Amino acid sequence: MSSLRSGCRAALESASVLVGVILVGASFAGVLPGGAGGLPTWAGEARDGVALELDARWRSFAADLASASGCDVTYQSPLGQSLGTKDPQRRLWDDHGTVGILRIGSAAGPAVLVMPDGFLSCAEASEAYQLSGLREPRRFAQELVEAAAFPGRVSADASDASGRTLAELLQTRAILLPVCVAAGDSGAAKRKPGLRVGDPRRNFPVRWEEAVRKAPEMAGPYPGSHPGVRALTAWLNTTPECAGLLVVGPGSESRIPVGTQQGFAAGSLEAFCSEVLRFGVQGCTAEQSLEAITRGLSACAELAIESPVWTRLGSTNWSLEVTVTRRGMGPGGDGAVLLNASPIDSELRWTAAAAENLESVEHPMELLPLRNQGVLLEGAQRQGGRRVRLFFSGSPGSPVKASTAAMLMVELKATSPQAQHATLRASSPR
Amino acid sequence: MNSFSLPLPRSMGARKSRTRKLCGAALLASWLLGIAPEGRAQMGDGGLDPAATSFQKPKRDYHDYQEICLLVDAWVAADPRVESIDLGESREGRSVPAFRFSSRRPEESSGLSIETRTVLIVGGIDGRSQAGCEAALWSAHGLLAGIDHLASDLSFVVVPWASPDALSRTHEGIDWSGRSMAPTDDDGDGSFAEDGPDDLDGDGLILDMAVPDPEHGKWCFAEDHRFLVPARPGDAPRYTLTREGRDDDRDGLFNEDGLGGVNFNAHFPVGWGSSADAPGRGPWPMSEGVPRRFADLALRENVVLCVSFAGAGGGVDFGRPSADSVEGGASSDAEHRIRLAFERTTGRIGCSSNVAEPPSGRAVDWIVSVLPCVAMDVAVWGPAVVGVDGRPFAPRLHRGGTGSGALDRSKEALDAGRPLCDSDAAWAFWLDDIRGGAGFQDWHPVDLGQGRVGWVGGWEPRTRYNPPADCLQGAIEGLPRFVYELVAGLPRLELEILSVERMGDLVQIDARVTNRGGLGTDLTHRKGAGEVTVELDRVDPASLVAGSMSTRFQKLGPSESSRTLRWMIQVKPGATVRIRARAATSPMVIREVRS
Repeated sequence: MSSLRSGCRAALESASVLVGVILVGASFAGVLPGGAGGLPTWAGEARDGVALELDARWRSFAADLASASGCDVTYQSPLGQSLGTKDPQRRLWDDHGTVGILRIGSAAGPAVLVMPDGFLSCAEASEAYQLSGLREPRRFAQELVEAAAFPGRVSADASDASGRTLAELLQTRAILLPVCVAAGDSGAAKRKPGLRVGDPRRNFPVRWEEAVRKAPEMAGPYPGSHPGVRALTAWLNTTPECAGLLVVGPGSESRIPVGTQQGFAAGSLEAFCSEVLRFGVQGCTAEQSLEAITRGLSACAELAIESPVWTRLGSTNWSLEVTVTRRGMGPGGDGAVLLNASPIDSELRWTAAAAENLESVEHPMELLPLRNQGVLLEGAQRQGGRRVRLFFSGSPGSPVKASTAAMLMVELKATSPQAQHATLRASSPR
Repeated sequence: MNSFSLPLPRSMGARKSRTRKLCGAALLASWLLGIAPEGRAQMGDGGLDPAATSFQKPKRDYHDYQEICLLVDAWVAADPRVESIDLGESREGRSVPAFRFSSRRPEESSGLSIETRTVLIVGGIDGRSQAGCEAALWSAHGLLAGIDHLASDLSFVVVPWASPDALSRTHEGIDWSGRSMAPTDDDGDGSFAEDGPDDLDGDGLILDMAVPDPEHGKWCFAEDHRFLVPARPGDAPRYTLTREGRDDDRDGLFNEDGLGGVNFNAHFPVGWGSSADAPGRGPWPMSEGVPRRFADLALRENVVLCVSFAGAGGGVDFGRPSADSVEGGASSDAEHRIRLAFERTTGRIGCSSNVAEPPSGRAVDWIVSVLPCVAMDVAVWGPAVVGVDGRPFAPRLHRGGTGSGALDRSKEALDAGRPLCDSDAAWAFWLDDIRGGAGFQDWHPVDLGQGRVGWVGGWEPRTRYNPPADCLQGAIEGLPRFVYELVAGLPRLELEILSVERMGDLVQIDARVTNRGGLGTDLTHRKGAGEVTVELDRVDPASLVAGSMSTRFQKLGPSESSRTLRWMIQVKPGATVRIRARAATSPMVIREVRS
């Protein structure tokens, strides 16, 4: 107990900010003594009281921030997230764990997950919750919003190379802060002594066997055995807009090889985000955090559709070539881009080009038609973009109106899970 | 080296101390009564009458999910010593049937500081082996029927239907991929399950399909045209082998993104990275809730033995630890003895794996890596099991000499340079000589559109991975007894006080410790796994005139005794001296000696 307490306290003191809070369930009844920090007794129905209180405080905080700053601030409650339970409050203690998220910025577009180092430093972070009492998370979130609302006042450097401020970036992108990971009570305390649930720093599902070899105590008996890790892993996997990870905390900037996709420790969150989810991953100190967040948001990938070239093919068909480009050097991953066409003429049908039809194109690429719902562009398109040719034709029983019309109009949309989407409305020549 | 044998008492009434430790012969007979053909029903020796047991017998056919749940519920209701275990629900909302039992009554367990060892029995964790589920049920029933005679330190945890969603679909004949319904994007196109199998020929079955693929096809038909063999350079025509179905998403590929899901027996973290091509291994290990809860259950228990009825091949395949680990897994001695026991109880000679295959995400690979126990996959059905009416087929196939037509054909194929592999030859024999050809659909053409023709055919459900219903009993036969022998053979220490002699103020005690189990105390490769410690308890070291307070032996083999230990202790007449012996794989034994 004493080592646990001192460890958590040390983690708190060393981390300038602590946003992530791991709550554990009744398994740790002995860890959170009744009444500590103004919390109700950690037993029976009262434990749900803790969750509800925490939830209510974050919800209120998000509303306060939104009204005070004018920023788009939302709070995604961890309660009842998983499994569509009949009893959402109880479900907080489900084996799966849940994660609450504070989202600051646009609801659409890519987002950067800011993971203060304290989140992972406190293996038994119920202590952290008890000790932090939400003050640190509030302060950090407050700083972020103030920086966005009043750029230059809180952090003079919080603008990217193009001079875009954090507030401007937040118009199209978002910062996600994990504010609460609630872990179930189904495992930890019931395990035999000596069989630990693992340490969140090495328990993520990436190269687990290597993690076991290097740090068996931290790797845990299986990847994701730590309920907080499980919750965060599941949440990350179901949040496609999350494009990058910034780890904030002292030493993070040197521990994390900035700009590389390899080299993170086996079982670490950084390695999981980088190697499995293909996020960009960067680290910074707390002092650099606002600047780093701005930089991270700025580096988020965005797509562009450019240089449309129309060609009339015979009397009934058109082809349209465009260049699809992915921009942004940081977070954003290399996920495939889905290019979709929506002809303005509703009777028009379109098909993807076959590879052989692209022989004349400078950068031919493999196209995978998806039930006529879009064309999947594999691989990165960062170096000058890729040319794509789309064919528009009428079905046998439904001749293309536009083929005889003066002009054909289509709207193209490029999307990727981890990038800002792009649209282009293109009109054929008369 | 001999295998361990079954140390059964002749009469259930005699030598009660023994019957507390071991299941009885009549119990074994009860299993045979329940599972063997009728002709063997008189094997009981007048002991426990299987009809008298309050535990409902499993039916002799495949159970579906509901029937399994009802049966487990009935067992739980029949005796307070049987408790259900909550393993949560599957993705499709099926609760995972699981239960625990021991010979201890609940009132005996409360407040009792007894060291319990757990035997884990799992069925069908691969999502395909329904026969494995049946074997788990029958093994459990055999143990339940003799619950009064089980060793009090043993606890049995049974998960007979370990992959509920996949097994349910296997049972219904919808899909036997063994994968749960977790949506996966198998072809990485951002869509889920958009191109799954279809019943192209309308026969109500989804079988295999060979699609002509001159460039990338990896298969060609063998001379025995029912089988496909890996294509070699120059072979033509070549085919891609897939499940029956059309190209639903018109991407030129067939069934490349079907229902998807996770195969729980490829989903555990040990060897997961090396099984990159394994279908259904999941986005990362342990992403699914059911395997996680199963792992948590195993971690909470003091598991010494895990028998997982899964896979195909008809043999025993031991769990292998992580490639990076030198520890874990069964010791070579334990493996050898268990293999012999398997051969003796099932009659399956030479089909248990002795090859150190690298781990591949199986549950048993993970279990032996993290727990000091022996774990194995036992495949109920395979090319060397049984035919109809208990008649064995091709059990010595690899050694030749059956003279079957199929093997002759195999030889011809071999001469022609297009051999069937051994297992295909065995299946050909089974199909032709035992099943009369029933269970296989000849390949027939189907229109794949755009002028392409594919070939649909292959094995029908319950032929090659699970036995036909009329072969089920024969396939399971011997497996409950195998489980029983493993349980009976677990290491068990016995502390014998050879003599107690008082000499004035001193008392001289001679004792030795014996492993009464059929397996050595060194069940696993782990360092110190077999160590046996004998020590004096509550004795003032200052009063010890001769001997050691604690003596360690590296291991004790089956039925092996330690050397005689002698202590000379200065104690008052009438005082009690406590001696205890313990090993990681055996419950601690304590003897009190009155001086």
